Amino acid sequence: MCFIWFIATDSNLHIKHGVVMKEKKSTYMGGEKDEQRIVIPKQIEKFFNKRILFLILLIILLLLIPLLV
Amino acid sequence: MIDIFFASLILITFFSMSIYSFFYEKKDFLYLFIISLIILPIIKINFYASLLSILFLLTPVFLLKKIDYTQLTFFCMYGSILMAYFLLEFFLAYELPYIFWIAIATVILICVLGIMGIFEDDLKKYLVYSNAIQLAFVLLDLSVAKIAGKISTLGTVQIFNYTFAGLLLFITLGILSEDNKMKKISSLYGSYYRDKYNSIFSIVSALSLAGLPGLNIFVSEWYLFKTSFMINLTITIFGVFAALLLFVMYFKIANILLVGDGKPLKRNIKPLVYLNGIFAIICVLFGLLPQIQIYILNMVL
Repeated sequence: MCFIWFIATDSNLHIKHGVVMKEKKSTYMGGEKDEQRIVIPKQIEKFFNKRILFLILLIILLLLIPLLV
Repeated sequence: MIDIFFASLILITFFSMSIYSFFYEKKDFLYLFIISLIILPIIKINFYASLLSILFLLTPVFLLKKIDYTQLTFFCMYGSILMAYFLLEFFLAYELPYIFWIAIATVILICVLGIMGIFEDDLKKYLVYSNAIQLAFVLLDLSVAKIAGKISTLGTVQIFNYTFAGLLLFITLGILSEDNKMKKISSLYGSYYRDKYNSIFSIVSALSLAGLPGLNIFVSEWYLFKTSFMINLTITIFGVFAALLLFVMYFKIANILLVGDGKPLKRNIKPLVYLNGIFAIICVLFGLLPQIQIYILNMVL
């Protein structure tokens, strides 16, 4: 997921000899229009959020209770 | 030998932080020097005295906004090294009840801190989470080693590797954020195009802390999971989930440094680049040739 995100958020500026020539239109793979210079892009955060991760952790804990007891 | 080992780790921290504070926060050098002078005899007196490290570890939690970046670094690093020393001596000296449950609680705590760290954008808070996770790994290593019945390499391997990789992460992120002038991790975007060397070293440390094979922290995780697999599957399953979360948490540093527009080049401070370069080489060398660190650690215990 991170790898796709990395490709998708590649530089959106056309740079020649270190000089910014013109700003190109963003071409993000998922068609995102929001600001991409953030730690977790909003599209990903919608699915991959804190609550879901804590839920997964809880599910793993519940599944492993028979092994613990 | 244990005393010498931990004193060496403190001296490595003191040396590298002195160089950093010389270029960024000169006044902190005095605090650093006084604290180092207090800490070194503590190791020799009694291992209970190293419980003082709780103060070091709690200071960044309660006074995060009041302390500067250099102070945060040496409170976290000294706190971790001293606490690791205390835990090692404590686990060697006493038989503990409920040790299995301590291990389970610790690995769940690592997962929770990992989730918090993934979504944290404040640089200082992120580093506090990272430090707490690595210290929890020290406790997990010791618990698993105690259950397995022998504390040898597992007792020291995590703190040994964390001293190098952790210091590298603290120092490089300090340089890239201009001593925390950029307070958010997201504001570091595209730093690679501004300061190539320090960004590469920072990525090496982040990937090492994430437990990527070929880097030093992977060796300690490998020993941990190998031992825990023989004891109880639960610790290993939670450990694999924790490793996945930590990879996402630390990979975000690599991602944010590499992604972004071109920025004006920054003039490097050469001594700091050389220092970071040495730490990065150590991280790679100890990861690719684990025999070296095992040889060193076998001499400690």
